[in-house]
Amino acid sequence: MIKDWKKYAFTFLITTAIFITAIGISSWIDNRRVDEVRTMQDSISLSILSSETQFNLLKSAACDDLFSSELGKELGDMSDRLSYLESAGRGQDADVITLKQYYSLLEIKDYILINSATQCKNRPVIVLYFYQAKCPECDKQGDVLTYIRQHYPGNIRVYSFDNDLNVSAIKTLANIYKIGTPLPGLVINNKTYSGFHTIEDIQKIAPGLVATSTATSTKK
Amino acid sequence: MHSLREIATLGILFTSLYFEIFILVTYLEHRRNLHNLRHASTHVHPDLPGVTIIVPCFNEETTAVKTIESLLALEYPSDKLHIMAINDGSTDGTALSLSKYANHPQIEIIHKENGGKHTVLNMGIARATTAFVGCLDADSYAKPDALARIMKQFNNPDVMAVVPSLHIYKPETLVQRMQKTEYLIGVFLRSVLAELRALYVTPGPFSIFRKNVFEQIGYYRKAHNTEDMEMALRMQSHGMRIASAHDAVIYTSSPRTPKKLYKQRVRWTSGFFHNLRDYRGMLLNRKYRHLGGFVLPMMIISAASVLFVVAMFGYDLVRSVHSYIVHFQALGYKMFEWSWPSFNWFFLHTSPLVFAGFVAFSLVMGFILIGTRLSHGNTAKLFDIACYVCLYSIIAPFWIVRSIANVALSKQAVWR
Repeated sequence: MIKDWKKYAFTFLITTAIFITAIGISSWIDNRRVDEVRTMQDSISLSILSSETQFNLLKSAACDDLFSSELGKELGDMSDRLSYLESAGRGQDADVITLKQYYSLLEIKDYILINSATQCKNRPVIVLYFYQAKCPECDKQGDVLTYIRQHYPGNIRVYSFDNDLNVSAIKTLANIYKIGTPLPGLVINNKTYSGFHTIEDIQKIAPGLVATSTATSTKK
Repeated sequence: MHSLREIATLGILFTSLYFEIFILVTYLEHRRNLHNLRHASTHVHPDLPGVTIIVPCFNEETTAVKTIESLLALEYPSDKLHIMAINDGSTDGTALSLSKYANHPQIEIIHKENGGKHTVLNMGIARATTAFVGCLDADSYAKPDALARIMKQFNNPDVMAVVPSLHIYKPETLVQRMQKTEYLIGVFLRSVLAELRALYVTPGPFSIFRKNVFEQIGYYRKAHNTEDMEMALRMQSHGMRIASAHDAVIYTSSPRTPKKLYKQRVRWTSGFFHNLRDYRGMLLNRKYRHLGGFVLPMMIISAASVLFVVAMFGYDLVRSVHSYIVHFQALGYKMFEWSWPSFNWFFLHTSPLVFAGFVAFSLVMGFILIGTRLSHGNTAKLFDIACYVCLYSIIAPFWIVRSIANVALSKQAVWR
C-alpha cells in the first residue's frame, strides 16, 4: 500500500497539473482573442489610411469608400469584441486598454475624414456616443445604439468613446461638443444631446435613419 | 482571475477535483482486488455461519411479502438463515400479510408497539441467537447470491460489518432514473471508501454485522433518524473495520417524485450532519486517518461549497433579471425581435473553470462507468445518465441547503 501522505501529495500534483493546463489553455485562447482584435484594428487602420491618402491626393475621397458599410461593420465588430473582453473581466489588462485607446483614435480619425468629405451625398447619420463604466443609463443607451446599428447598418455610423479612457483626443472631442456630466452624451449630426435617448427620440432627431429603411421595407 | 469570487470558485473546483482524483487513484491502486470479487466463486459451503435477518415492517403490507420472499430465495442453507419479521405497530394490513408465514420454520413474526426503526432493530438483535445479524428494509429485495457474497467477506476476521451494493428497484420516473445513476456512483464510492476504511454509513438495506459488534459498542440509537450512519461512525470511532461487498446486489424502492426524494434526502443529509456534530472528535484526528482527516472534512467543505455556489447563482439570477429589465427599458418590445444567433469562437466562454469543470465532469462519468462494471448487470442507460446530469444539480442543492439550515437551527427531519 502506498503510504498515505505520498498518495495525498501525488493527488495534489495531478490536480495542480490539470489546473495549470486549464489556466494555460484559457490564457492561450485569451491571447488569441487579443490577436484577433489587433488584426481587425490593422485592417481598419489600413482602410482609413487609404481613404485619407486618397483624400489628400484628390482633395476628395471616393464617397463609396468612406461610407462603405464594410468599414462601419468592422468598427462595430471590433467594438463588440472589445466590450466582450471587458465583460469577461479583462477590462483592466494593459493589452486591452491599449487596444481600446487605439480603437478610439481610429474612430476619431474616421470621424474627421467623414466630416471633411462635405461633397458626398447620402451621408449616413453620424453619432458620437460618450459613456463610462458604472452608468446604468449608458447601458441602456448602448443597447439602443447597438439595435440601430444592427438594424440600419448602412444608415448610421456610431463612434463610441469610453470617457474613463486616458486618451486626450477623447477629452478634446468631448470639450468641442460640450459633453458634460452626467453621461451618456450623444452628438447626432454635430448637435449635442445629453441623457438617455430612445430609438424613437433618435429617429426624430435624425429622420434620415428611418427614411431609407422604410423605403427598403416598402420595396419588398 | 480577477475577483475574489473567481478565486473562491477555482478553490472549490480544485477541492472537488482533488477529491475525485484521490478516489480515482485509490481505485487504480486497488482495482485488481475490486474487480476480482465478482469472478470469485459463490459456492455455498455447508459450514456457513448462521445469520439472522431482521425485516422491520411499518405499514408495508404490499412490499413486506416480496421482501421476505426474496430472503427465502437466497442461496444460503435454510437452517443457517433465520428471518425475523418485526411489525412495528403498523396500522394497515401488514399483520395480515405477515400471518401467512406464521408456521414457516425459518420465519419468526413479532408484533410490537410502534417505536421507530432503531427499536425494531434492537429488539431483533437482542433476540438473535446467530453470530451474524443484518436487516433488510421491507421495501428492499436481495438478489439470490447476495448473502453468500457478503458472508465471504467475513472470512477476514478483522471485518466487523459488510455493506452491499445498492440499486434502485425498477426505476420508472425521471427522478428514479436519476437515482439509478446516482446509486451506481454510490456503489463505486463505497467500494473505494471501504478500501480507505472510511465508510461512514452502513445502509439500512442488508448491511450485515457480527453480533458481537453490538455487544461491544452498544445497540442502535435514534441518532437523528439516521441510525445507519450513526452506527457506522460509532464503529469507525472504535476502530472497527467495515467492508464493502459491491458484488452483493440489493434492490431498494426509491422515492418516485421530487418532493418525496427531497424529504428523504433532507432526512439523510440533516441526520448525517447532526451525527457528524456528535462525532466531531473524529474530525482532523490522525487516529481516524482517511475518514477523519479527509473524507468527513470533505463532506463539510462540499456542503459549504454548495451554499456558496447557490448564493452565487442567486446573485447571478438577480443580476440577469435586472439586465433584462434594463434591456426592456431601453428597447421596449423591440428586444424580443428574433435574430439568428451567429456563432463565433471569439464569444465562447473559455475561462479555466470551463476546462477544469470539464475534467471534473468527465471523472464523474468515469465513476458511473466503473460503478456499472463493479456491479455486474446493473448498467445505466444513456437516458438514466442524462436524467442524472440534468436533474441532480437542480434538485440536490435544495435538500442540501435545507439540511444545512436544519442543522444550524438544530431541527430534526422526520422519518415519513
